[in-house]
Amino acid sequence: MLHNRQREFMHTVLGLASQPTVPVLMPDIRESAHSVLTPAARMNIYRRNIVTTLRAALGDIYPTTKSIMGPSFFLAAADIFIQQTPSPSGDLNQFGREWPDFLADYLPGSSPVSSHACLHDMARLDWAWHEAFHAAESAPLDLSRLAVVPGDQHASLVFSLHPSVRLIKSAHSLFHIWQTHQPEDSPTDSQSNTENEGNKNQPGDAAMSGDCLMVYRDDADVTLMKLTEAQYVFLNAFAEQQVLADAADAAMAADATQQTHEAFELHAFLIYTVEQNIIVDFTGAVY
Amino acid sequence: MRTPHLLDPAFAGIGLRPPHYQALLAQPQNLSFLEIHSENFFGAGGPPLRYLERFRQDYAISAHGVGLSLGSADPLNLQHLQKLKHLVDWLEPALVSEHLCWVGVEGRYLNDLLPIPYTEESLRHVVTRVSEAQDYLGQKILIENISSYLEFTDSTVPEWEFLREVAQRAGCGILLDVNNIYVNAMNHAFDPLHFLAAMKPADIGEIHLAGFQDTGEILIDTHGAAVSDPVWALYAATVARFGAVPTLIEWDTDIPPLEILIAEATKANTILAHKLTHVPHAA
Repeated sequence: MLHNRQREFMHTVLGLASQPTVPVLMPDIRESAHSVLTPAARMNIYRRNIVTTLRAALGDIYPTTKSIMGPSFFLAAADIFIQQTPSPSGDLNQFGREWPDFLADYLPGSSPVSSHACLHDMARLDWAWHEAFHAAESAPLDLSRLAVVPGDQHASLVFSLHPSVRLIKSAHSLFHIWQTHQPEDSPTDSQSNTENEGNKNQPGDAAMSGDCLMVYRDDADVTLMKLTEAQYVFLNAFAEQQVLADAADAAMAADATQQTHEAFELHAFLIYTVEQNIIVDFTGAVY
Repeated sequence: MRTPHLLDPAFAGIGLRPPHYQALLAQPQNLSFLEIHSENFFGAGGPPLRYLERFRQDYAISAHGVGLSLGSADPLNLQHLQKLKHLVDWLEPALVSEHLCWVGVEGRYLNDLLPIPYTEESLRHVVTRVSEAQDYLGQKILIENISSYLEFTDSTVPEWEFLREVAQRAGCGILLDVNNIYVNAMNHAFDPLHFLAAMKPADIGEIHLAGFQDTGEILIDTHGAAVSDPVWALYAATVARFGAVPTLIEWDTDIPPLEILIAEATKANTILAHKLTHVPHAA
């Protein structure tokens, strides 16, 4: 009986789409002598509470996506998403993982605005930020450990990235769009951004062909950093467990195809990422 | 080894919410405890746990769960329970609590505190699950009564009897939400004092106070307003019956400045202090 009641309740609540429809009646709700509310109206209170909670959770996790879409377009899409996509956990931080893919399917038929083309990637960026915010801590790499590795073995080292690091490549100018959609009074303890400060490999004109981005937690604060194609390829190789030699080859190859002002400097970038706690560990070759 | 802070029942606590982090860090407050929503600290690391690490140095912490879904017909979510245990083992909270409700079924969560029919079948089911959760966590938990906007025709016993029996059979404590008692009393036409009278004083481990919204047709438990006068009156009756019990001011939507919450906690302190300076009536 308990299972039936709960299944019935869930289907009733979720079956009520955002548009007014004839509500499903829950026959097992007691009519109250002292209140004018029908069983359907009572179920509707729950539907509203649940939808409000899930809309808010989605908006909190995808603030930039929401800002670009605007409130009404966002809510229209969110309500369809909420109905289609089961929340997998009693922990609301787990809700909304499928939103970027949902948008990729939903947008073409719903949005004539060209700036919305970037929404799928922006949603990926928002989710990456959310994951980085909650990712595990990691101590910085002790450079003295690296110093004792014989030089002829460096090529076969595999470096590992901080658990918060998320790499995103987009055909759109995601960094600029992201910046223009940050709230004026964004609290510094939860949001910050940097355009690769302290890094000699500033992206040049190549940025016009799209963005390579890294989201990571710089100590306590989540940070968005713009990378060159070579830097992106280099770090992504480590995310895929490749050895330093392969990562370097891939970075050089990427560099050769880009019209950057300054060439990829492997040594400087490696030191920089270790100092920034982006690279946090290394192991010997896997083969 | 850090000694966990103990709760002082003579002072109320408040919910720990991000908008108040800086104000709480800037100036220590005369609060008995801070209560977290456990799920907000299920992550592996990052700012939430870093802040919590700082607050636990200065305050007793109560871990209040909203997602374990103890009343669900689904098997107990072991992944959720595992995360809760991980948090509790690290945090060493003064209190651990959950709700007498279901949150999802068939693996799909609605992320709201939903009512169950109060039947013998439900009771056996909930008792088993509370016992399982307590065994897994290795500690006693408190179960909170929820607000509800409907009653099932299947129910065979009143909510207060059901709650008392869960505590009796599972050996858990009760987190008595006085606002929820009032909301349900108005919504379902019963005398809130009957609810209080049915509780065993030894079971009551914590009290919650919050604000509701009156739509004119029904009371909605919004946690978005000050505690109402009739709920303060019911709280005084609760303290008169059960003595000074750790009391929490809950405010989760339209969160006001910290001072407003401190003022509400101070109001609760006055009622608690009044009780402490008077000889308790026989329960």
